[in-house]
Amino acid sequence: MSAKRGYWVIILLVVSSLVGLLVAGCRPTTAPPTEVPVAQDTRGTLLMRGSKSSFPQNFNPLLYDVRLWLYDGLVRFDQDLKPIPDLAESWEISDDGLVYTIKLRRGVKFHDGVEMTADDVIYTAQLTLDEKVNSPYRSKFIIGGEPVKWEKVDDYTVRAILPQPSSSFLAKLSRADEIFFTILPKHILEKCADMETCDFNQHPVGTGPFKLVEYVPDQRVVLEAHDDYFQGRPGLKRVVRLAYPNEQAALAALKSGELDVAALREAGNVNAAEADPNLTVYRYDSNWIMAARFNMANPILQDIKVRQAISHAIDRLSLCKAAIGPTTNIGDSPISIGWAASPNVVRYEYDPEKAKALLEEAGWKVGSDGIREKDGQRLSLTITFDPDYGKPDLATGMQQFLKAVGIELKLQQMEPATAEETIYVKKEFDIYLDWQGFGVDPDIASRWSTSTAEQGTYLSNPSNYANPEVDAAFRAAEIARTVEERQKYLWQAQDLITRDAAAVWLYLWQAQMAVSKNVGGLSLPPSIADMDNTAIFREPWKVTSTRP
Amino acid sequence: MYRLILRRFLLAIPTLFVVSFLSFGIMKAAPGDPVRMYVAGGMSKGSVEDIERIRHNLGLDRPIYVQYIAWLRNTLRGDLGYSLATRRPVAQIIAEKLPASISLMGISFLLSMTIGIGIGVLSAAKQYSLFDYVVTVLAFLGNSLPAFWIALMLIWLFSVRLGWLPTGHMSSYETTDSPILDYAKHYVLPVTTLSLVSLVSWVRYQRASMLESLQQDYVRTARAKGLAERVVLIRHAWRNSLVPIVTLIGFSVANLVGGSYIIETIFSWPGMGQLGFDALLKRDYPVMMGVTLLSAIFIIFGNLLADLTYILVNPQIRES
Repeated sequence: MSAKRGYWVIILLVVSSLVGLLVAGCRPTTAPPTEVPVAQDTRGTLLMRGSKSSFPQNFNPLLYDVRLWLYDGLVRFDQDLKPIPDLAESWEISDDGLVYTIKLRRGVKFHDGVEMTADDVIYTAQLTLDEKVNSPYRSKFIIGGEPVKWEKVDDYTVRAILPQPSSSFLAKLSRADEIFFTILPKHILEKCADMETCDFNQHPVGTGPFKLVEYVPDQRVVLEAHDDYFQGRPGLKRVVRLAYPNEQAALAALKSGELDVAALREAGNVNAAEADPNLTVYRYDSNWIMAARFNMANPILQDIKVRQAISHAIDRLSLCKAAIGPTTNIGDSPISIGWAASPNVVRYEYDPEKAKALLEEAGWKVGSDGIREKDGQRLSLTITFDPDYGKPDLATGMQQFLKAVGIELKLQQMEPATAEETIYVKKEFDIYLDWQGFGVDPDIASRWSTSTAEQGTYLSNPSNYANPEVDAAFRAAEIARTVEERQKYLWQAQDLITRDAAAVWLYLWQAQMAVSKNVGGLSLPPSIADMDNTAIFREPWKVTSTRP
Repeated sequence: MYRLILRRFLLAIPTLFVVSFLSFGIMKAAPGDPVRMYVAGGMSKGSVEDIERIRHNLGLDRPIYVQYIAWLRNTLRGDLGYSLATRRPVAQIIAEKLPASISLMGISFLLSMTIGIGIGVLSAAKQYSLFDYVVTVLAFLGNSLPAFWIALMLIWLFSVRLGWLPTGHMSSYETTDSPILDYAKHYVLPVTTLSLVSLVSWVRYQRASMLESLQQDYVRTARAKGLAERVVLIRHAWRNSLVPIVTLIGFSVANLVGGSYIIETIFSWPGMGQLGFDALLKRDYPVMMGVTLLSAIFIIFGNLLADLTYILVNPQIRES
């Protein structure tokens, strides 16, 4: 009996572990990549590093950012960020700015071969407006409290009737950073009882240049050319988005020729890619700008002299180059690039002496520990941020610059969800550090208007900034009939916001894409970056690759 | 004995219940709102109207206890719900990730246990030898070094410096290696790190327990009988020293499950730990609950296994 006892223990231990191994072994997580032989197809394959958002796991653009090349909007954007036709062929806007008559291209095919018509456009609009569908874009089509009305004129013409003029409406018929209005197939989606759990979400069908053939969650997404694409047969046979655990791994793969395209952020990796003769690094700025915004409800910060002093005390360019990377550029206002960027904004140059003088004027005198004081109160402020996008380094640098002029800056770093709630919902901050700006259409009024101050979202104005003139300018810009008119009011708004020194404007999100020599047909010069850095692929159907 | 086993088994049910209740409560109490963060499109997208509407559609505006009861009812029916982030069934997501985790944990468990016991026995048998000193010092070190640090050092050395092993993931998309070699290469670093986490405990417990049983009268008797030292060590001392250390199984499973959260995240291992960690950051409540529940089941199962083994090896309990 005692001899058996010992074996029992061992057998039990070994068996229990083996069971685990067997369970694992019997169910491989990855199927071997399927090779689809294409006769006489000499087009190449493009291997891209997929970002988080290109591994959507859900391919329904109503529910999820699908940053792949599966879908098209009615409108796309040219180099200057002006809308140009995509699935739409042309449009007419009535004189009162209320009726948009949109002609559609003929002969556009979905991936399953069915033709796209006005019915699909109307259906997509209805789904977007459906309260039961969890689309985040519904409110984009509610203008002045009322929904946009959509009508089918004939199979290739639709009409959108706006409750009031809206200069940003056309841009909403696109896929950009802020909106995904891409045309979906009615004949498939109308069979779905529940959009949340629809089979379409895993087996998407769009009109885009590529269609989904395989995806392994968090590992790869394989797309294949949609040969009936309306702009012509795509130049690539296949696009594979691969997950790499980190930038170093992606760089190693680029250098060894296992990967064609990857976005890089770390300066060391960018340098390494530039030094490689087989790689080219493309670089372009975006309209996303990191800014430190002041809480106007804070008694210290209510004094414009203090805000101006802080703006002058920081060497923004050096700070951002050190914290983010040597090629980083800074901006001076909420709109930096494109037709809407005002040339007349107030720029705050690095001038610590001026900062000190402003603080003296405001009554803040240097105290015994080097920090300024007024009426027994120390000039001490807190900056709130999460750890992403170099914010900790930026905040630390700002702390040093401000200390030099006698301002104490305390750092309050929070985990993203907590930071988001603290800043946007509770509004408990003196200064917060986060992205401002936009992807393509400069519809930024909600971040600066008084009336949106209570909202609690990323789009809101948590800093209690209130300037009736700014409100009026944004309202006028929204109902403007022409781009020129809209531009005039947007410029005015920026000039006022910068005159108020409402924020310290820091760096522009810069895409740095390393691309191998295999790849051709890029859209050069690249237009501005979206957060997914894919602007050199503005026309993905033209891209080619020599990789078999 | 069977009643004891049955009791242990039944006790697991209220434990799971309490675990689910507590994790649901803590999760909901933590700041952060998935609807605002990403369900409504995240940054620069959803307006208040969109956020409130989606929150209502998903039932996230109901009181927490109502949400918990709804979750519990569905879970008891075998429906773990849908991920807020991806809108895919939680059960399906977990099923995809489970094999990667179980194989990682299984191999690590087996390795750490066998190597740990081996080293522990040798170290005790040669107490105060150089080997014993080295083992004691290393075990002390291993106990103090955090797993994530070990993981990063291993990546730095073997992937970045030497370039021998991949930095993460389970397999390569394109490789000249055979699939088995490719998998093996990917397993080395995570398995090593995860094994080290529990190896140290196995060594220390086995060494202590072995030293204790070497002092027992029956060992002296066995030696006095003139048995070979190998027989004395293995049959008499080691076998008896196993009784206290089988309880380490439960502890070790808990260690592996907990450790896998960190290790999988560092190595981009497509398993449950990484899934849970991502879900935690995203406040993806249904996925978090699913992963937590499964982790709790693993740990409870580990403890149950330890109890059963303990009963089997300990006649005092077995016969009562």
